[in-house]
Amino acid sequence: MKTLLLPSLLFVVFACNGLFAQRNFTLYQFQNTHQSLHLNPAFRPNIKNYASAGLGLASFGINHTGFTFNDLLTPRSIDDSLVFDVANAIDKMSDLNSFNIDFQNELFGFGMRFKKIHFMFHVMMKNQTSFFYPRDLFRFAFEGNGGSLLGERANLDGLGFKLNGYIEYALGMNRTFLDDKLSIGARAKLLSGLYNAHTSRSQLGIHTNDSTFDITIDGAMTLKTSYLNPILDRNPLDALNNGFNFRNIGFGLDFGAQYKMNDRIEFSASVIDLGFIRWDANNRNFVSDEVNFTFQGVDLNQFLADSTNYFDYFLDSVQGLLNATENSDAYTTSLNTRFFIGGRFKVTESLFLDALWYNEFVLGNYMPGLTLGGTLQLSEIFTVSTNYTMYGRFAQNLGVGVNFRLGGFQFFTMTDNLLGVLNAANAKNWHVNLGISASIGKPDKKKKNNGAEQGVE
Amino acid sequence: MKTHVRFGLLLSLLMIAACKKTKFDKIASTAWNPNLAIPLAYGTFDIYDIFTYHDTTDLVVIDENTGLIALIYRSDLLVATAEDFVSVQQFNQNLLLDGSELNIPPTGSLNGTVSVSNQENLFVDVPMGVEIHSFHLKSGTMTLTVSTDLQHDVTSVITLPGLSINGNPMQQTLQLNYTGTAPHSASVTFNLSNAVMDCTVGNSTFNTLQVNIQNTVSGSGANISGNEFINVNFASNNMAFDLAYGYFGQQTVVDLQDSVLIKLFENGQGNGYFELTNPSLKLFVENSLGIPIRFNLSNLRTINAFNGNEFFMQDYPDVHDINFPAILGVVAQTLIEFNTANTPNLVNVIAPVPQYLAFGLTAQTNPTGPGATLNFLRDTSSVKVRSELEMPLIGFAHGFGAKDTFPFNLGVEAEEIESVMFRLIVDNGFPVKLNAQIRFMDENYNPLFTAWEQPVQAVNAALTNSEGVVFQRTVKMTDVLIEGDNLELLQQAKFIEVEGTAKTLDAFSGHVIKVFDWYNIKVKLGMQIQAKFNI
Repeated sequence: MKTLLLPSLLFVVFACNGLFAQRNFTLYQFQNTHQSLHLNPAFRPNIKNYASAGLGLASFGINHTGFTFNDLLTPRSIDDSLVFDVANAIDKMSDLNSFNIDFQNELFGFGMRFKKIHFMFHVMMKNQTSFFYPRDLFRFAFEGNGGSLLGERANLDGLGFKLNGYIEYALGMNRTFLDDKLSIGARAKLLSGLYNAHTSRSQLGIHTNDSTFDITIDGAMTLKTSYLNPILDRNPLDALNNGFNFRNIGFGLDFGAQYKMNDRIEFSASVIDLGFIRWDANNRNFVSDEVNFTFQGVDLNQFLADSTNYFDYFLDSVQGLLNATENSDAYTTSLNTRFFIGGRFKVTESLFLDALWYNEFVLGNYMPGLTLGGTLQLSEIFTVSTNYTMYGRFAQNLGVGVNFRLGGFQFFTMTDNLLGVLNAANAKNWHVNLGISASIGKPDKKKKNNGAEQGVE
Repeated sequence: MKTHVRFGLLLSLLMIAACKKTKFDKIASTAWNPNLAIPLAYGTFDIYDIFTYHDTTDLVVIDENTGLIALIYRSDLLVATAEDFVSVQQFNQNLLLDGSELNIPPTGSLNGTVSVSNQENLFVDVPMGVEIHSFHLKSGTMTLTVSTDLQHDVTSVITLPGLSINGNPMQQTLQLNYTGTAPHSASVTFNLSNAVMDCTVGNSTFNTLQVNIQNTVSGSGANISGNEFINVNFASNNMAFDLAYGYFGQQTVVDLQDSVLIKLFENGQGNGYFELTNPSLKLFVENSLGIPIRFNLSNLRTINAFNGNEFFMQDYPDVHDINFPAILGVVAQTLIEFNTANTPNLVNVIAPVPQYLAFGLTAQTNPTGPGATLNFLRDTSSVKVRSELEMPLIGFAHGFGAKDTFPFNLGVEAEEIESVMFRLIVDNGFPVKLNAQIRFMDENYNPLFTAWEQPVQAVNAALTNSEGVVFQRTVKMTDVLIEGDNLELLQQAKFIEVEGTAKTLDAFSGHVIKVFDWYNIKVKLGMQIQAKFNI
């Protein structure tokens, strides 16, 4: 039964979760929206007050760090037919790759500015799903153990997944200093975990001796889960009950700063989602035995002595490898902390060039991103941004976003990779943001500054 | 404004360039060629495991300190029991007392009583030359029947002084009553269990049982002619002895041709050379018969069953007097050994890898005639001969081969296989190397193909010091690659014939090696498959 649970769990959660690779490079350029404060609490939109309910910021994304469809399907040299080129796809992978499906939505939010101080509050649901696979998993499947892996350890360490859902209640503020050249912001978050499942330890190696062909399997796995019953029972919405009871309580902090060096140049930096969640509700954790088993084939001595019972003995040995103990211990997971460092150069009064250095650690692996883009503010009503991002071992991410402000409402939509929509086969990132919020009050008058619409007192 | 236009154009170009579609409908079939390396089997075999095929009891450590091994092939050659030496026929003898022996005077009418006593002998029926002095009987019955034509009542008292039961001589009285019909008779049966039969008549002879007969005739008034008789019949039934004393004569009780199977060469091809430094043939004789016995051995030889060649041993001692017990209940042991000291060409007759060691054997009792003491035997006594062909594994050999056939079934479709490579790794601790060939055969044992064009050396010999003791193991890896046409033929294969030819280290130089019980050989078998799947 346990063997069925895991794949079922994966399927259900993947199906239920939304799509979002939570990098939001393009949103960082929309500094005149309140939603950009999610990425840097020091930003100061030019609308003093705003409020959202239900769809303030909905982000969906898929990110795959391994390979694209075009890496897997390459043109045949003799004609234009496509052939599976698994070797090429493997070549494009890193040692450990991930397939991420994320979704977040601002359920409620508002912001208010009083002179130099800007207060912000939001309630946001975040869901993150990641499946991690090592390159050697594909090498093993495609080449077999007798190809280039012969004599090597097929390194399947890290094979695993991470499911995470929580609701954050965030209260923050920022303030300007140095004649409004410097803005510093911070936000505190109270978190209530919805569900969690992740492989906190995943070690698996398959070594094939290059002369004897003996196969040695080593490994250990620890799977920690919390409140998975609603998902396993196919009632994932029940997990939302946990969003308000704080049985899985967590805390988080965001910090940010923005500095205007002169009329044309400004810099910004932020650290977001610095924190943790303590999972303590309905935990079921599974800890496998340490495995180090070498299969040498049939033991001739034993087989010749008693061939009738030999295979029972062998099956017992293999079954022993799958032993796991279960516990309900509480555990802690850290948030997916990210760092942004940005710069903006004003070309004209309505055209800005942006640069963004994104930093993230996934399962101990440093995942950087670099964005170069431009923002064109055609009027108070319409703003468009585009950018080009290198992220996830993929350099073809064309981001585009538009922002409308009509009456008392602001609507925006954006993607970090338009190519993912136009040419999905050659993309690693698929992403879309959209949001609707109420803008209360008139935008600030433009002041001589180098930013987009900046709030002024 | 120009800047805005340029920005828009750039954005448009990027979007157009991005609109390259992947033609998923043009995906062609592709080959998937995984290569699988699979360990099939492994094992560590010591000398006992190797000879399990025959019988581990064939292996004996003959030096506990070093673990030196000898192959010992045992065989129970002969069991001769007491009945082979002394067999006693059942009694069925008549003692006829005629008118002269009765000696009753003739008369017209006999009234009153007349008593007549006679002494007679019964004879034990044994083979010529056997002189029985006494028996102790374990079973049987004896029936005495007295008949007469006297027209009178007769009372017969029959006494056998040599046949005693519980220490008392056997005596039986039979009453014959005349009722008007003659002849008339009477009989009695008595048990012989635990009876002692002294056949010496007071140490004066043998095979003889004295019988005393006293007849009393009670006159009925009828006449006596003087020609009347009285007959006494002695008939035994199931009479058997459990102990016998006497002189059992000069009998040839065993005359046989027998052989010992040399299992080591049983599966050989009848060729090769196998020189052991100190082989021996031992005959262990266990004798519980109190009889001197002489063995005569003849035609000691080895036989190569493959070509019929026989190799005769020379100058071996052929006459052996075996020990015998002086008292009852003792088993006397005798060891008859043929070794290189008394059989100079023993090494040579084993060298041609024969399958049998054969010989002729006769056994004669009392070869020097009667001795000072009597022969004795129990019914359970026997003489057993057990042979041991002992071959201490010290020597050298070359060219001796063996082959065997095993069922085989590939079990998978070869269409999805480009090649199969079997890998044999032998880590050898024996100072013996092996050249091997594997032959794949169809269901009619017709060869399909061989693993290699020529036999390959699959096992390297371990290295030995000057004493012939291994000091360094050797490892040999041998691959069998099957591809192309042979892969097709592999599917038809139903049997594998494995043929090997072994040679001890530096055998052609006469380098002597020794085999100890701590030697072993480690075998690993793996397989590498290059598969091909169309996807």
